[in-house]
Amino acid sequence: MEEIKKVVKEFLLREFLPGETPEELTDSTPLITGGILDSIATLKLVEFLENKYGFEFQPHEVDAEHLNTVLHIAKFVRSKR
Amino acid sequence: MSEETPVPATAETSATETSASRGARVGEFLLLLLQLGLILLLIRDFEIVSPAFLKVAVLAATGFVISYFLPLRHRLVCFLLLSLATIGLVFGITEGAWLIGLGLVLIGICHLPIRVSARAAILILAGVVLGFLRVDWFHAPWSNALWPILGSMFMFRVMIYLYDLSHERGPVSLPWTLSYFFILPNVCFPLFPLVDYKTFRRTYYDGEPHRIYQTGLFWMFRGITHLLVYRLVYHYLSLGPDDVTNAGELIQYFVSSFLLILRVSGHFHLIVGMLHLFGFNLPATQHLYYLASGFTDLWRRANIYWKDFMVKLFYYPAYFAARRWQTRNRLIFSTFVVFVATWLLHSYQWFWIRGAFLFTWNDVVFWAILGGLVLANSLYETSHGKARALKKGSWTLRAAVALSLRTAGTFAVMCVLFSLLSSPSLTEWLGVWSVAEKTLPANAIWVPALLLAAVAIGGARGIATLSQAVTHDGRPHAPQKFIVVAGALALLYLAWNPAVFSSFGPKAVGIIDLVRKEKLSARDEALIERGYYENLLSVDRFNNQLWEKYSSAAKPADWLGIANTGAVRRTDDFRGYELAPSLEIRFKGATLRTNRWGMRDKDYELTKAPNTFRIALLGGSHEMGSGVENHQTLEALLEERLNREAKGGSYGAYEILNFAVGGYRTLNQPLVLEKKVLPFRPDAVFYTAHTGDLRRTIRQLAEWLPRAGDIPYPYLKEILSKAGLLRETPLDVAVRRLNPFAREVLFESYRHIAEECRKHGIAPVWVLLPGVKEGRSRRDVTELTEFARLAGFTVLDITDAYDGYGQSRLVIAPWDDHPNARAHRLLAERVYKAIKENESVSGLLISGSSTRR
Repeated sequence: MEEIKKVVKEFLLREFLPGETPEELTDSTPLITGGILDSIATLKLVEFLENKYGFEFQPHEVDAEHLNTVLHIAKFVRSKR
Repeated sequence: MSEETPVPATAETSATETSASRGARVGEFLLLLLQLGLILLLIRDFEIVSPAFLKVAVLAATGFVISYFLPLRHRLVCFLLLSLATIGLVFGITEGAWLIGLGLVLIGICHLPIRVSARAAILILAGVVLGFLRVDWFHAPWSNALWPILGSMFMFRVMIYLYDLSHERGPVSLPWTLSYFFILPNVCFPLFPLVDYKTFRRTYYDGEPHRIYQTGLFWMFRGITHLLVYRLVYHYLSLGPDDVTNAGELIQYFVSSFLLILRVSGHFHLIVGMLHLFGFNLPATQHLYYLASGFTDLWRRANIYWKDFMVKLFYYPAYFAARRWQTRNRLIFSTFVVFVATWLLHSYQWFWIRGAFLFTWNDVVFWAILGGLVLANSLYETSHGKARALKKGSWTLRAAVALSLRTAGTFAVMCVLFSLLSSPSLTEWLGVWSVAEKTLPANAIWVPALLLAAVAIGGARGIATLSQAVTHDGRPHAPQKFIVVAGALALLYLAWNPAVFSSFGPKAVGIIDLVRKEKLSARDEALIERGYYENLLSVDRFNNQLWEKYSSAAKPADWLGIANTGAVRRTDDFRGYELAPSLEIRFKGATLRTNRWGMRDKDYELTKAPNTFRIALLGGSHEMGSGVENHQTLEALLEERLNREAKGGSYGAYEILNFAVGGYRTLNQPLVLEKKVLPFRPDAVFYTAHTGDLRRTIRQLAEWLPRAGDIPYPYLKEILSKAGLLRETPLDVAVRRLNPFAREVLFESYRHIAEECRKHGIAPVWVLLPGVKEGRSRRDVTELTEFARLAGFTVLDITDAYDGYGQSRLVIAPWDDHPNARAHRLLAERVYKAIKENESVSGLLISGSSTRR
């Protein structure tokens, strides 16, 4: 779980938040409702997760319920593996 | 689907609450109530949305108080009962039962124990059957009023619901389902924000309740302010394509087209704000969309719920369906699907609300261009990235300027695009560009000022954005209580004391007066096509039966214009018809009696008695007295007053002969003067005018075009010729081409009437009257008054006659804006006062100077 969170955070900071302090991105920072992930960025994240962890998202799984925070993402990835 | 209702710890009162925290909670509750009370007063006094909405808002406020004290587990049922009660409140028991019954059938189909695809097929079939009923191929046993609301509740929500149902497991919760579909206050809004079912459930009391309620009240207040600003835009900025005659007006037309969507955001903020009072901590429906700094940014801000719906049901499914394609192509494909679906579903929405499918080329072009711009912007963001931040960003002048320019550019493009969407046709929209080469008029100084303002606002947004933490979720924080209370009190103070602005001049008073009015008609409303959203929001324009429900009154079937009653007879001249003599009918709830000369008046001899001052009144339906008794008209009251108070001076008696006829406009009056008035040899003609006459006169002349050869006035023929019009020129084109000549037409008509009067020794007096719900644009008043003076009239301006009176107290019925008996009394008093104040007219009428006896 911690490993997934670390990987996801690294990806988010690299792709969408270059130059930001890593500590500012917490497990509960709202990504979709907070405006960091719009639909295009969300698809980039989905593509990354699919490639990294070897599973496929269904369209209905791409939402705030599963992807709004690093914690949500990690839980979802774990449930799919 | 989970049966479980989210129950945050913060939503229930803790058993260990101290007396101090209990006191604080009571204080917070009272402050919430104060704000809610002020908002209800604003809804009432500014006539927000409709009378039915006021009732629903009062019911919702009562429900809020009950719900506040209920245990959380009962609150959803309380919300559902309230939602169902609002349906009964607006539609009554029978119609309400039909609405709920039809809804239950559709919901039942969603839950049939068969495959989802089969359920979807049955829903489509049910939709087709309902569609046939909607267009009246078969007669539906329920009222036409039901359709827009049934459509609004189910046309999209059923798609979302079935989609979510097909991807969730677990038992169904009936209260959640019913609350979602029959959601309060949908019954008052055919155009309702497209709430997502999952979000509806997920956000239910997902935070501290007082904060949710406070957010809701703030949004309701914000919605009201949007609607008030919309009214200002409507009255002072909005133009139809016909009005555009120079480059300045072209820019005004573009800007006002975009600004008019404030009405949509006003309604949506009110609705979602009200839902917050019941714990639904839903996200914002719009967020500072005029400050979008790009087209994807605009798409994400303008109608967030629609965007989310598109992303969920079309964008992601299309994207994932094309897995084997390259990312760029998948993006292009899914964006294309979204915009085609948006276009088609807007037409589908139009069908359920208005009763016909919408297909116009300007609609197609609008969505194609916007789709193209959003796609280009998306592809750019994909390859170049997009600035995001977790905390306060560092402010640089360069970044602020770039953001300002992007914001101003996006705003400008959207203004042009929205004018396209709002235009009645692509041809008309292309036509307005023909004036672009004309220079800006001197009074278009506000145009560069507006552009500068846009850049300044963009700059402000730049500073705000760059200094903002990313965790900002668009919700107001600390000052919101203060803003709601202070803002509401200030608005109410202005509503209750409009004269408070009198030191700033009549214009300032006029602004407050206009903003207070619920129904808008600065321009002749029937003549302005204001686009997709305006046409879905203005229930009074497309569904009389529903509007009657909203107005709490039913318009009788025999409520017709005078020309469609047995009170008129045809004429072979350009008047078309006149009042038949010696008849008595019921007309708009009052008795209309004509004398042997065909006047709505008591009987007079053709030749007046000696020592009598005779006035001929020229006018239309207002002056004829639609909806009031004969003795209650302006004419009858003024005559009675003159005989009571002015008699005994130079004259022994006064007579006012009422030649006004419903439907008559400027161009009819020279004929009335010639054919009806002159034989009675009056001493004065009181010609009545209204502020919308420029537009109405042009429209009337354009309507005469097919019979242009027979028009009896050479000056009108000459103007038609100068405008390059042919008999077969379409009406809308004729109106646009005649617009530059509007002032000339009106002035020549005035001059003709004034000259005819003087030729016959009659004193021409021009009286400018207010319309009960008509705007009182100072520009129109000044311009018309000047024309009348130059044409040779003595001028009486009584446009302030209704000041200080709410419009709803002055009309004959909620659905008919003609002045009632009280309004006629105000007019008569004001005309009498104006006569006394005007030396020339009082000299004429009372002192008896310069006229024959």
